[in-house]
Amino acid sequence: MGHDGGEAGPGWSELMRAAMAGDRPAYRLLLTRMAPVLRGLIRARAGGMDDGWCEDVVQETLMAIHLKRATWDSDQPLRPWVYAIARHKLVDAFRRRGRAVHLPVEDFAETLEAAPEPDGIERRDAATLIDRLPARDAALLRCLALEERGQAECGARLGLSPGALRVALHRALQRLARLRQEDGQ
Amino acid sequence: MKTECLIDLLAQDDTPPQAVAPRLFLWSGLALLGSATVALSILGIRADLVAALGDPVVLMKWLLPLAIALPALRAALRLTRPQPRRVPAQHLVAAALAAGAIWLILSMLAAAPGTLWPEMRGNSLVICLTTITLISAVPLGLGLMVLRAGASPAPMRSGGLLGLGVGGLSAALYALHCNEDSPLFFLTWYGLAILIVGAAGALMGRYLLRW
Repeated sequence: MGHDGGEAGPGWSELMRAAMAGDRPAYRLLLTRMAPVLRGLIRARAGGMDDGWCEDVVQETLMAIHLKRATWDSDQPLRPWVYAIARHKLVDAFRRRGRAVHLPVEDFAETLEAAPEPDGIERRDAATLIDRLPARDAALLRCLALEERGQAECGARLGLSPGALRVALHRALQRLARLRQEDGQ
Repeated sequence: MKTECLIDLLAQDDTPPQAVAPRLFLWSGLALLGSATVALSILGIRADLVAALGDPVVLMKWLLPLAIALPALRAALRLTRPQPRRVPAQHLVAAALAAGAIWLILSMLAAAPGTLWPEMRGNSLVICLTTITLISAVPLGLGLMVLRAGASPAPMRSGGLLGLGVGGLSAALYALHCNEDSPLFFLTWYGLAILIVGAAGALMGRYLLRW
């Protein structure tokens, strides 16, 4: 591996370019493919931390990839950028635990993918974190993610136009990322 | 939250990502122009500006701050990307700062006994320091807000470089007013003001630019 190949279909960089041009299915596919790679990468360097802790780092990495994707130079391959984000998030998670770590950049290359996340290992209760968001943000995320209703239905329920819902979702994710980062400091 | 749920949410957020650089230039640039316009309309522009620009020593009042500011801004923008790549522009910043420091030391050594402090102090050091830092305040604050969208591998350094960039530009704008042309004066106080703004940027960046 080490290239964008290794799997059938378009590579990560290609998927991200499509995603940034507004192709939502491509984006979802990309994130879904990244998750196990990130999980393997992070578990291999977690130094004895449990799987729940690792999954938190995986999620923080995915959120950062999402919120910071404008900082990827689309002329460059995506993977080194993704690894840099994962490394940063892992170092940050260790630091919050009071552990200083040295993770050489060169070492942050491919690792075997980890098995899919087993059920019920998420350590932080989703409900608690979402509850610390402003009420409308919390209601929106709950409706979209936990109840898995469509945007149209959630918009109607919360009285948001499609445009307002998009803005609200983006802001809510930004706040959630910040909350997660502050959590446990 | 299950990772799948999170991916679900992220995939639904199709707000287009915004590049940092254009927004930095827009917000910090506008704020800098606004602040400098206010300051210069109160203080006035030096009457002999054109003549001053023709004197190579005095010209350094603009060139040296710009030689710090432009590479500093370039480096700050480069550091919005998370990969710890080379940032050559920061060496240019260091070189410009070092050149200013060396020139200052040589001027201090060359000063006639008893004239060093009077010449260095000049007549307007307080105005100089406060104006440059005040012109910088809003552009620096807005610039840091814009850089929060970046993913700096070194938040403190990013903030410091932004501070040096904004401080350098502010000093160059203040030089349109300031008619104290002794290198002992402008190297000391312009330099100190730029470093103050840089330090403020570094301290704030350390907290604001974490992600």
